[in-house]
Amino acid sequence: MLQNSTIIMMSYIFFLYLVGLIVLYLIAKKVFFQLDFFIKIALSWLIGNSFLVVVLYGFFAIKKLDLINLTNFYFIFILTLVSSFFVSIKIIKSLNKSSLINIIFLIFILMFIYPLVVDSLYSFMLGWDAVGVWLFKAKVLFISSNINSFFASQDYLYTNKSHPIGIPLLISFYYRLVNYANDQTIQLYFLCYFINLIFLVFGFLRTLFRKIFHDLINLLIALSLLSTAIFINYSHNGYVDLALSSVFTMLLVLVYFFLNEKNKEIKLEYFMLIAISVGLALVIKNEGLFFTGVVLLVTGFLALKEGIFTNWKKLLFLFIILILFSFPFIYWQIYKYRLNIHFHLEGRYLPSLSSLNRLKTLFNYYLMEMLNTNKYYLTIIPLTFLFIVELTMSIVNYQFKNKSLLLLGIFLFQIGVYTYQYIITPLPFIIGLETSLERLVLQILPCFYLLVAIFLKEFILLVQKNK
Amino acid sequence: MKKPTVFYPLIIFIFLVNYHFYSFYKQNFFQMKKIITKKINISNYEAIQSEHPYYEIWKLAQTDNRVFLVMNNLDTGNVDYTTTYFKRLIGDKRNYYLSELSLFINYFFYPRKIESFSFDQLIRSKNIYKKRDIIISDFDFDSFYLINYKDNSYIFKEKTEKERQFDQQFLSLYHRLKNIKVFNKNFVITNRHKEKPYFIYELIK
Repeated sequence: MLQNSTIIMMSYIFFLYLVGLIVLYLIAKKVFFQLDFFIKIALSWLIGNSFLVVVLYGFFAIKKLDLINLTNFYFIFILTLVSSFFVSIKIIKSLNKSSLINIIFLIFILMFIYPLVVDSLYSFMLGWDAVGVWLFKAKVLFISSNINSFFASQDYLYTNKSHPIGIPLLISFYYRLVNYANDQTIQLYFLCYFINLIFLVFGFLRTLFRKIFHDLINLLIALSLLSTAIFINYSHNGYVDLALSSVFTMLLVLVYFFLNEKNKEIKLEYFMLIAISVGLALVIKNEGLFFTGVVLLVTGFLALKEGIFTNWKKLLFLFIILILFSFPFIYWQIYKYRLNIHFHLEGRYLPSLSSLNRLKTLFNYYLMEMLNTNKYYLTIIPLTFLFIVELTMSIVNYQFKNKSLLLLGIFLFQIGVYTYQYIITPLPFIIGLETSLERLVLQILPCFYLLVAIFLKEFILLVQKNK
Repeated sequence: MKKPTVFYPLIIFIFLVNYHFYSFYKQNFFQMKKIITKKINISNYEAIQSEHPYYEIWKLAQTDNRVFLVMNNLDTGNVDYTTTYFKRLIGDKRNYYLSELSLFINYFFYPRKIESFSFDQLIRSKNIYKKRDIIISDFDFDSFYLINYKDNSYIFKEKTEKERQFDQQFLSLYHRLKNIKVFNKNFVITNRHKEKPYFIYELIK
C-alpha cells in the first residue's frame, strides 16, 4: 500500500509537470504542437522545476519559506489543475493514432524503470555529496527560513556552500509538505530527472531518425545508452549531476532545433525555452555556468544576426522571461557576496607552470574512463569510433559550415572547462580527479550520445546523396 | 528512405547485453523491498532506515541525550578522500578531517552540533559527562581496556604521574559505560566499501 509521504510526493511531481505544461503552452504554442510527445513531457518537467525554483528563491529572499505547507499546496494544486483545463482540451483535440503508440511506449519505459522506482521507495541515502551537500542544505532550509547563520558560520564548510541552492530548495519544499525531512521518498524526485532523460533521448532519436529507424529500435537504443551502471547508480542517489546532465541535454536539443528552424517566430519560442532551461542549469550547480554561458552566447548572437526579434509583443515576453529566470542566479550571487561565501577556485584563475604538468595525467585518466566498460558497458568505446568516422566524413566532404559543428563546439568547450578546472584546483589533484571525474562525465555523456546521433544522421544523408 | 534493417540485430544484441547487467541491479533492489516489508512493528521510514549502516546514530539523533564524539583516527596515514580542503571565511585555508561517521552525525543531528574530541581529551576532561550521556567513538574502549587493564598488571608498570592519572580517569569512566551494540545489517549494498567500525557507549551512572 502506498504511504502518505509517497502520495504527497506523487502529487508534487504531477504538480511540477502540470506547471511546466501550462508554461510551455503559454509561451511557446507553436513549439508545443511541433515537439515530439516525449520531448514535450521532459521539457514540461524542467520548466516546472525552473518555474518553482524562481518562486522558492523569492520566498527565500523574503524569508517566507514557512508559507509552504500541505494545505496551501493542495489549494495551489487544485488551482493549477483548473487552469490546465484549456491546455487539456487542446491536447485532447490533437490526439490521433500515434497518441496510442506513444502511450504504449510510455508504459514500456515505465515498466523498464519500475525496479528503480522500487529502490527509490525502499532505500536510504548514503552518498557523501547527497548527505554532505544537497540533503544537508535541504534539511537546513526545512528547519528554518532564515539560514544566514548557517551560511555565515565556520561550521559545515564541507557542504560546498557556494553551490546554488536550487535543488535543496525544491527538496525542502517536499519536506515542508510532509512536515519532516523524508530523505528516502525524495529519491523519487531525483529519479524523475533520469526518467525524463530517457524520454528526452528517445524523443530526440525518434525525431532525428523518423525515416531511418523504427521507433522501437530508437527506444532500444535510448534504453541501451541510459541503462549503464553510471546512470543507474546516479539515477536517484541524491547527487545532482544527473539533474544537471538532463538540463544540459535539453539545452543541446533546443539549440539543435533552434539552429535548424527557419520560421523566425518559432525560433524565438525556442530561444525563450533555452532561456528558461539556462535559468534552471544555473541554480543546480556551479558547473552549469559555463555551458549555459556559451549556449546563450551562441544562440543570442545567431538570434540577433538572423533578426528574429521582430515581434514586439514576444520580445517583451522574452525580456520578462530573462529577468524572471535569471533572478535566482543574480540573487544568489549577491547573497554569496554579502555573506562572504567563497568558491574553492576563487582567486586561482591562472595555472602555474607546474600545474600544467597535470595535463598528461588528465589525458591518461580521460582515456581510462572512456575504456571503462564496468561503468559504461558497450557504449562509449564503439560510439567514439563511430564519431571519429562521422567527423572524418564531415571534414573530407568540406562540411565546415555545418551548423552541428556549433553543437560540437559547445560540448568541447565544456570538456575544456572541466580540464582547466582540474589544472587550477587547489584540492589534492589525484584524489579530486578520482572521486569526481565520473560525475563530470555523467554531466555531458548524454550530450555526447546525441552528438553522435546528429552526426550519424548527416553521415547517412551524405552517403545516400553520394550514391 | 530505405530503413537500414541490417543494424537491427546489432542494436538488439547491445540492448540485451546492457539489460543483462541492469537486471543484476533489479534483483538487488527487490531484495531490499523484501527485507523492509517484513518489518511491520515500526514505521516505514524507520524500517528502511534500520538497514542503514549508521542506523544507531540516526536513532540517537531522535533522542535528547547529550552526545560526545570521539574521533581518534586522525593520523596522517589515514588521510584519504575523507580529508577535505576548504577556504575559510576568515584567515588561511586549512585541511579538515571529515570521516564518514562525522558526516552522518552532522547530518542526522543537525541543528544540534556535536563536538568531537580525541580519546585523550575525552578521558582527561572529567566531570563534563553525566548519567544518560552518550559517547560515539571510532575507538574501541573495550579492546583498549582488555589490552591495557584487564589483568591489573598495569599497576606494576613504571608510570609518570600524568599516566597514572590517565589510568585512573579512564577506569573511572569505563566502569560507568554500557556498550550499545551496533548491529550488522541484513542488506548488503553492492558497489560500496565497508564502513569503518564505530562504537556507542551510554553512561549508566
